[in-house]
Amino acid sequence: MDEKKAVAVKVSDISLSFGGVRALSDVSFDVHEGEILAIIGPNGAGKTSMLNCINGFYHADRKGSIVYKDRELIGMKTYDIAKLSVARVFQGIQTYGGMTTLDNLMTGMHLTLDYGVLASFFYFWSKAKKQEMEKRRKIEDIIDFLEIKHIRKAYVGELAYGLRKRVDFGRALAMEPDLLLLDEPMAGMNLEEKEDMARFILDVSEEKQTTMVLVEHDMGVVMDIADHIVVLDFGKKIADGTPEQISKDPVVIAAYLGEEGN
Amino acid sequence: MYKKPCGVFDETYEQDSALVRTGYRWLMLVLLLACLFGVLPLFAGNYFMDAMINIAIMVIAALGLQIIIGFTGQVSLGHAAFMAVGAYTSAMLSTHLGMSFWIAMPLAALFAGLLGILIAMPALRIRGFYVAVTTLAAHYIIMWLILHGGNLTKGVSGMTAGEIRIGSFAFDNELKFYYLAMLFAATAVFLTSNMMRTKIGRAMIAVRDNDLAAEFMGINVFKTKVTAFFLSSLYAGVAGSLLAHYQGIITVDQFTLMDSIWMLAMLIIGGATITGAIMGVVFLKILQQVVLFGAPMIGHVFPIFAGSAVAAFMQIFFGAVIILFLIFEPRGLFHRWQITLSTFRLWPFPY
Repeated sequence: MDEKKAVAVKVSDISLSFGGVRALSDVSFDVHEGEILAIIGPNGAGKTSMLNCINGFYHADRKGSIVYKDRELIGMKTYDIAKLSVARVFQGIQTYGGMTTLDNLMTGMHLTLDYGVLASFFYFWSKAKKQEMEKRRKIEDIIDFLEIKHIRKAYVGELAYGLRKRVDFGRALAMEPDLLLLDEPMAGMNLEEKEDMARFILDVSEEKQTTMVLVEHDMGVVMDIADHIVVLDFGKKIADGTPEQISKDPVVIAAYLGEEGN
Repeated sequence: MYKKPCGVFDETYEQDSALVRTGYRWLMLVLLLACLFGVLPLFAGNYFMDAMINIAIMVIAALGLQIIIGFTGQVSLGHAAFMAVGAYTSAMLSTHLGMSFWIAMPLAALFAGLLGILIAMPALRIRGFYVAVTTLAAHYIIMWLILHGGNLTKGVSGMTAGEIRIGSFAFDNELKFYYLAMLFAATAVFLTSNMMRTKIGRAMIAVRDNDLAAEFMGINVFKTKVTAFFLSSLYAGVAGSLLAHYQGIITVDQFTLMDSIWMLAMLIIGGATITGAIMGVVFLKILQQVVLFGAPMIGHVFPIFAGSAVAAFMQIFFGAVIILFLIFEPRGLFHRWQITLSTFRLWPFPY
């Protein structure tokens, strides 16, 4: 791990419980600027919960803290956190089925468009049109990059799964994120689609230096693209380090494969 | 997927997001407007004009309902009540204070809109079904207030509203009012179309399709819903105000729960787009006229069905139409229209 990089997100002592179930207990880790951090762990380990805490969708216990851009994220509203350029790629399909691919991506630009209802009524004579056209240029770049030109005007609800995931990714990119949270972006994809997605993630990471937190089950992908791995098991952090360190860590091997002799 | 005619390419982003894309469509639009504003009034009698005015007013109201139901995905059953608020506010301002329509109408619309926000605030913290029930309650509260408003609303006897005039020119017959109502309806359609291709419209659809994802993308879901409710009630207020000044007198039984449900039916039949809302209104209103003329004929041929049986037949017939649409055309007339268009554009090479 490159120690010279500044800390982008400082997660310390995060605990979260639903009723009696403790989803996370005292999880701490640092996400450094520009790195791809992967959170791995068995099912139900609290990986998605961790992302939801960063997004402000779940409210972690107040004794912990998540500091990002000098702001305490715990207690902030989800859409206010989005204003800090935190984007999210969802598990499963969470695109807007009734909109075209283009509109889905444009929705990602929602926060950067600064006009109100009245301006939207008078499209041609207001700043709405000018802003929309400016953003449209950026959206087209993303569409080119993700190779989804052919489905630009297709309703997302009618698209195949792999393409919808790509639209979801594009929508997150449209937010021009500084921090990108990816929740199983490759789940349910075939090898070729996975390779494409991994390539997109690496390209974004290289070109824009976007800090990313990735939750993924495919160990091959994680080992290949992650700079830094955090392993969760039953809501506790059991390991933290580079892919090489993690792959040799006996605790991790035990958590994944079961301990010998038990 | 929307398919453009062969050989039509967009060269700028402006072209791509234009409402009217091709020269042919411009021609059709101009022809349609010319027909509505120029040709139709020349030939049509007062009865037909009256029907057209009703359609125009209902288009405005239905567009309002479309914003909240079709675009934002919150079911409202109180739309007729918001129309009543607009109608009565406008009528009261005109009768009691002697205000001109041009001041009373915006005030009435704004008041309906603000009342919409007031009712939306508690309703929209929860989702779906509960919103419908809250608006249902709102309907009965508003109706009770109007009925028991004493001298202010004139209760059951109905409220009068003054003529609409510009200077000395009064919109005092069907033909003159027709132009006014059509102009309002066309403006409403245009403004709504504009809104739906900007971030406000996209935020609404995002909330409808996936409010969770919308919140993660920085869309304030609650604010979006409240805005939608405000606009929806605002449209209803404009429609109600127009209705009041057109008829000159309004009563509470013009704004029943059934009317809200009819508007819902119009949207189901039309589909969840702006064109869909217009199609739904026109279709149901035409059907109404058909039944109005057809029912007595049935009564004439089969005397046993005459009288009350004919009135009952109307209800059954409309019910059947809605059920058939839900079964065979759940995405509405607009969807069928799109499929027809695409088929023609791809023919004879359907790939």
